[in-house]
Amino acid sequence: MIGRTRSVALTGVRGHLIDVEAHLAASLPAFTLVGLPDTSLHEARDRVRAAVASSSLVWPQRRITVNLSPASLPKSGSVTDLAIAVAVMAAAGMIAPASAARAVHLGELGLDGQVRPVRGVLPSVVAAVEAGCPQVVVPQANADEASLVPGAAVTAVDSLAQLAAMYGNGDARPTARGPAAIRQSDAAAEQPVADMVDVRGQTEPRWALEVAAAGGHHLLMVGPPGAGKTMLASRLPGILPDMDPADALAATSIHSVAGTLDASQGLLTRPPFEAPHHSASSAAIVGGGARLARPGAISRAHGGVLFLDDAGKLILPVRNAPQFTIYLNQGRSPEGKSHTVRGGGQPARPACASGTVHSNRPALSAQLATPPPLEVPP
Amino acid sequence: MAAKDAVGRYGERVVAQRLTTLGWEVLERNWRCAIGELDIVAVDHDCIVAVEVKTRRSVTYGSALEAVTPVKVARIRRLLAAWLASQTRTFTEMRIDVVGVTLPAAGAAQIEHVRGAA
Repeated sequence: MIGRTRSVALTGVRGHLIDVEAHLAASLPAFTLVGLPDTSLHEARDRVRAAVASSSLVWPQRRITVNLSPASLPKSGSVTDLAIAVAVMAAAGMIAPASAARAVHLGELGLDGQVRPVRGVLPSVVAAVEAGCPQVVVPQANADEASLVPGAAVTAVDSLAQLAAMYGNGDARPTARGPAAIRQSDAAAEQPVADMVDVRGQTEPRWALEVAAAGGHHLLMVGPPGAGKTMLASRLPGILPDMDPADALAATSIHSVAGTLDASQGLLTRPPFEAPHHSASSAAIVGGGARLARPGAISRAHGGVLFLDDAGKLILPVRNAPQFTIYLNQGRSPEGKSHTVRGGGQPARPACASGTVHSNRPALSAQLATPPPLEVPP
Repeated sequence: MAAKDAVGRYGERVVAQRLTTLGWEVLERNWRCAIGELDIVAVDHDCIVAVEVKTRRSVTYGSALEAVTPVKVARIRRLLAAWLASQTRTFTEMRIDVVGVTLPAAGAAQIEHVRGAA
């Protein structure tokens, strides 16, 4: 008795279609999960089991083995919960196996059978469509984000019972509804973009900003406190054109993985503006984190502006990070990538933003310029 | 005797009868030694089988089969080896079976027989 379905594993901002298979054997009841899952994914066993029981369905009393294939690709997080539940139910004959096998399932399960939103739905759906599986089942709260992908046939569900009923199980009933799932978005409240029209005088710096905006160049501003460097830099996004469709999709994918996307606004089209503090850690600026690395400020500024206020005070690990040097040297080159290296592969995250480096003290900016050569392209 | 012990005894009796009907030769019931007890030792064709019987009156606290943990199965394995050491008769194969018996409030006992547990 084997049940199959599909899901997506993320490395960086790239999605990989994975097969989720469940095998039920006549032996003592047990549940094993194989295929390189990490600790957060191992916990799926307990969530899935509780979610099925909470949907008025009977958990099969069999030796259950769930395999996530390809087994060599590390998998992480709760996004495969829904697919694991569907594969087990298909193997147990609780739902129609053919319809379950066709679709790609994304979503975290609550103990009450609720389907909760996850990070990175946009790149996951893109990967599914590219791999020729346009039928995707996503959490209701991620429906807007999934619908941004052209060619995707999106089905949004808010409970496991609802999905089981869709797949032909007449017994599935959601139990008492808990409060609505907490939105995982860290999206900052929409701030009005500062306008260049507010600036009085400052003809030369304004002209420099226009040149940088038109050519996608880095810009270094040096001056005493109060000269207007921050004020001018924060007005750079206002004079940048909308991102082209490829950049817009890449930027939106990055923000989806970072958990900073407000999908109700559609694809990001305006260039993002990132202004990390000079004391920010290397992980915050170039990206990092265990297993599923989070994009840093360089990646989040993709297609837009990375503003490094008081760049001379940036901590040494950031200035020495190879990604940072690459970033400073490349300008807005089309092949710009921020590499975050980790055990499970080398997920490449696009990062080509226009950087604005700012320093109060010329001595410090010169110090920054020496080890990683800071070239301002003509 | 506590009620739960009576339930267990009843389940073991039902299973022993069932195995005999299947043509198995039941050699031992509640064989005890220093490390524990085997519920049933029986011969299925030429295979010696240690049968663990778990009886439950409801599934409120999980099914009968679920209550037989890997630790318990490992102990039964050691017990079967101890039992074989005490015998002169030899067998070509050995196996551990687990039988879950659920006793509903009314009606016949439901029996689930798992052959070759782990």
